[in-house]
Amino acid sequence: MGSGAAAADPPLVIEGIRKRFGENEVLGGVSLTLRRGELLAVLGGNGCGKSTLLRCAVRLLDPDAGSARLCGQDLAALRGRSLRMARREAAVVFQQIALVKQRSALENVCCGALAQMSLGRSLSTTAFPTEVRDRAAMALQRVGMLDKAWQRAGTLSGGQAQRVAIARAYCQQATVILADEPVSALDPRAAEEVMELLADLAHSDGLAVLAVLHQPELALRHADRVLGMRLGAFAFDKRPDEVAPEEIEALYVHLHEAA
Amino acid sequence: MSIDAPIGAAGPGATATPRLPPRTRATRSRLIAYGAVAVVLGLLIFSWIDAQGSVTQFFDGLFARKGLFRDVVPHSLPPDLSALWGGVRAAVTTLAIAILSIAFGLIGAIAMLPLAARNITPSRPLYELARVVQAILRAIPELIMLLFFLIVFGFTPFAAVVALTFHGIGVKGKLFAEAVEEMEMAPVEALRVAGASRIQVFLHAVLPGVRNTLLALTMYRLDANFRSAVTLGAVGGGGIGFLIDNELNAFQFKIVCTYMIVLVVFVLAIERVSTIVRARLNA
Ligand SMILES: Nc1ncnc2c1ncn2[C@@H]1O[C@H](COP(=O)(O)OP(=O)(O)OP(=O)(O)O)[C@@H](O)[C@H]1O
Ligand SMILES: [Mg+2]
Repeated sequence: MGSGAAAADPPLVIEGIRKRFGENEVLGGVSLTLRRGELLAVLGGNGCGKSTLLRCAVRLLDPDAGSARLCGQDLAALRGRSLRMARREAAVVFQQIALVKQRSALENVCCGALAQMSLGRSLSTTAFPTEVRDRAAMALQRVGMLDKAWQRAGTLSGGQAQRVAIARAYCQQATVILADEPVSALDPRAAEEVMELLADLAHSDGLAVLAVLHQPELALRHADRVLGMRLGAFAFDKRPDEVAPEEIEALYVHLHEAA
Repeated sequence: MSIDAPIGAAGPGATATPRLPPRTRATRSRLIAYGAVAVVLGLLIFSWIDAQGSVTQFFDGLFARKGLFRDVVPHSLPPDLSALWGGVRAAVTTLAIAILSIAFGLIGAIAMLPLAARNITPSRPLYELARVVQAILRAIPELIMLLFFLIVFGFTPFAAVVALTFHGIGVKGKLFAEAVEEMEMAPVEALRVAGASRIQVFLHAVLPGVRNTLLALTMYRLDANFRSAVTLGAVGGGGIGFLIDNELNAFQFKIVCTYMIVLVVFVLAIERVSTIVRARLNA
């Protein structure tokens, strides 16, 4: 990496992030680099700190120590407008559907472009500028949801809604997609499709995609790299074909069982 | 099966009565219950005395020869329908007071919302400030507010509009803020990460998310606002409350009767409209 001036900064670099809630140390100084064109799956038991890691990465939470750099910019050093502009490089996709249910799929996708719109042009919540709508339509087409553009988000199925959320990330022109259990609420077929879409965004569009998953088999099948997490630290970080079944099982051994 | 079957040999048919664990705090909680009843009784007795409750007065007032049912009611019938149009006209003014104050109150409450909801406020002190302001606005009864505004605005229905608006900002501001605090945060966070500004997030994620809830809460307050507008009118704000007060003072009970009919019809109609609109909003 970093072979000269042409090589851009990696989209996401996390270094030594620590986070505690009261007595509870949730992240014990973790580091990772996410590259373009890569789908990284994060596996780990409930409460091991996966969501906290994601939230620290985009400063929805402030870490106690360490840094997160998005496309070369240290988020902790930024405030206000510059923080917003830097954050724009990242998009989040949550397990629970993060769409405004009362608005159409198209409007939700258009919202991805808000950061690029002046306040004056974004005051109207009913009419987005034509170029934003065009971009949103392209994003919807990219995820195969163009025909549902006018449907209210609250009436979409889980799998459809998750694709629309991904389309919003696409419309945002984000470099990094951070997905927290994007397929946990989906049936196996829909989960498969969403994972294929995420992998394709990484491989065809060159995005950097990080997905927290609770389904090891999906991770092994779709990801380029698998990160095992346990008790706020990384247990392994390997290519899927290098991960041994015991290593995955060890992630889910509860503390009282291990004793 | 016999009662003294060996332990462990008891099959599914063995139904020795299970021994309940001892109720350790039973006596204490019973004492607390008696204490609570005593306190409530004491409160009631004190209130009766303090509010000058009187059984004889109650029955005299309602049923004696000069009471409500034998004197006022007969003198009120039949209603003087020549006052009907005047009553309707005044009720419309009352409705106008209610509608204007609801509209201004809605704007005021929404304007405070970005500060007053804990999950979207930019700073804790501003949040506390907004909530304190709302609590004060709620704490001052509308009628007392009107007394102050009558001094500065004079006797005009608009004084009632202002009083009801401020009180409404206190009431709706709190209800709205609670609605926002209960909302799903995922869409809000997604837009925040997408680089949207606070105002953009508020306009594009928060407001669309709670819009129907806010409108339903507002409609729910519509008939309450109308009734308040009637009361304020009696004190000098105008509208049908003012007319009722005037005619009562002149002992024109047949006219008052007409006004009361108009009043009840208006309140019931508003309640009905409010219910229908709310059903639509929730759909
Ligand atoms: N805001 C908070 N305040 C206090 N503790 C928190 C907070 N957020 C998370 N935690 C704690 O941090 C730990 C890690 O939580 P986190 O949500 O990161 O786990 P996770 O790996 O995402 O788990 P899951 O698989 O269940 O989503 C948990 O013990 C949780 O209770
Ligand atoms: Mg989680």
